[in-house]
Amino acid sequence: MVKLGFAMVTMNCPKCGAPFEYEPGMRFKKCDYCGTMIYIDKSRVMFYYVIPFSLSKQQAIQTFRRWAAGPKMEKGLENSKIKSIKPMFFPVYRFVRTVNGKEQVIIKPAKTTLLPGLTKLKVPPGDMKIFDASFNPGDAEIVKADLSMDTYMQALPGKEKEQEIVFFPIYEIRYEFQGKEYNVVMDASSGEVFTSYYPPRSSVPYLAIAGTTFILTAIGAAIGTMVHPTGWLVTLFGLIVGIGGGYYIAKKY
Amino acid sequence: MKLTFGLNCPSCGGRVDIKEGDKIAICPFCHTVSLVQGDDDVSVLAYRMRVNEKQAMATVHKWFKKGLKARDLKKVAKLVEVYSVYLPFWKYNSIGLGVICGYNYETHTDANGNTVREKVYKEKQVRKDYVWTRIACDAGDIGITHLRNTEGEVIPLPDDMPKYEATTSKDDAKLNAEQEIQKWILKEANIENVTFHREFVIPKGFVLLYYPVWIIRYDYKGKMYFLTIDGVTGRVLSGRAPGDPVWQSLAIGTGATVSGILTGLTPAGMEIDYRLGVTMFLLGLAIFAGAYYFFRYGSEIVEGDLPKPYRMGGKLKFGTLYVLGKQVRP
Repeated sequence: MVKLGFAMVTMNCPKCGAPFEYEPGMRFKKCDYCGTMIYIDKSRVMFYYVIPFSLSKQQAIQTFRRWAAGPKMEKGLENSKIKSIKPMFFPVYRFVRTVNGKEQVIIKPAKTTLLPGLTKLKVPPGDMKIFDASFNPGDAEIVKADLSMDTYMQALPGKEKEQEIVFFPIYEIRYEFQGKEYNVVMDASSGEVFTSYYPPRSSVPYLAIAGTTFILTAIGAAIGTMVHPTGWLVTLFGLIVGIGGGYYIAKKY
Repeated sequence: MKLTFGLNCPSCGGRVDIKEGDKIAICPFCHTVSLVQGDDDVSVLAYRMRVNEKQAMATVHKWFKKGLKARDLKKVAKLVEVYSVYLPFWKYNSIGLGVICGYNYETHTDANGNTVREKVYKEKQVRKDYVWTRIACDAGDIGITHLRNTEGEVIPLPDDMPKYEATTSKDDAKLNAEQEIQKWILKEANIENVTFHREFVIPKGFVLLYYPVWIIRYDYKGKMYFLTIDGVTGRVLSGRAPGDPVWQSLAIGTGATVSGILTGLTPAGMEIDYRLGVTMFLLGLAIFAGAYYFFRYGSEIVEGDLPKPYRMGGKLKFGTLYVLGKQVRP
């Protein structure tokens, strides 16, 4: 089994011993003192990374309201009452392996959860930082990993190249709509919203107005050309129904 | 545990400068030629940001007024945040070669005025440069999955703006690139019925490119929307904006009316020529479908590589709840 160490933010040049700051993604570093090109071998260590919040609570609620106003969601959902908004750093493992000479990235859960979206297993986009004692999480809860990295390491294919635990920022928002409570999870870096269920908007009123307009104008045109020109009045009526009714539906339903 | 290695000449121990991606290193002291091995890392480079904040803001204001967005967007929208980041992209440059054989059906009128449908055999050779790009991290809700522009002033990795980390596999990206370029080569031949095809993708370069992008978040009536602007060309790459019930109702009113009229006139059209009637009917149907979609989903305008609302129905099914612990069997 692979024994893992933990990577520090400050590393030392193997030639002259001068310290340098490690940054996520760094593979080579030229020593500021002796100029030696240093290669950072990440295969035997585990890195702790964190993606900072880029949305404030206020912005997250506004993003939620934008999402809730979407055409798929029931009308008025954007005015739901926010019951709670909880910032969290949620962990996920990211393994980089060399399998048959090819680099392979494998993402594994670090925490069992029922929260929507977090079962999708991905590392959201963001500017990764080293997660160490100097990192200030603010009022966000740091969710502890309950699945161990070692368990995965034994079963993963290929040879280890890099492994890390990434804490990414999320908001869990609970909201109340028409007396019922729902929740969403928002990726607080890019604003992507995940949910398992939300009250959907019905297409029926939309189809009804579209269908009525179509039928009225079709009948009008048929009568107007084949029977009597007054048929076109029906078409005109259909157009008015379409625009007027359409406006009403788009606003209300 | 050793985490770092100094790269020095294995023969004399002198300092050898190696740039990322170098395959061969020559020691400046003893002139020993060494092969750089062990880590086939891709070159990392960045394009210089060419759009300043003022130019980005001008684009934002123009974009607010463009298209079927809320009519009061420019007046009501309040900018919440304007910032720039480097997004990582895998960029694969290649020459695509292909031999594609097959046949098309072509119709033409012969000397006697009859319409003839003929099988025309084709053999085509393709030779073209292809540039494939794909975002190297999860796209989240940024709405950019590939680059529209692949030209820029190359600079070493700068420190002035946040860089999003590349988190996807470079070899997966290469494989996807080659498969997709093969499809492009096949498409380039423009042969309907392919009987034989062979494509070759000759790699010219594979880099991790950090591309500058402006991200603008704005508030519209208590809701937060965003757009992204290409930091090299200054064009809008993706965005979300509120729609307007006026455009929605005009779309369904006029759209359904035009399609209704076309359908109503179909019997008359049939009498002249059956093809005219059928064309009118189908055209009406297409107009109806388009108008209905805009009417139903036009309350939010989505641009770029974001999921389109009418396709979201299928995509939103990811919410199936299950306990992760059960899925994990080490």
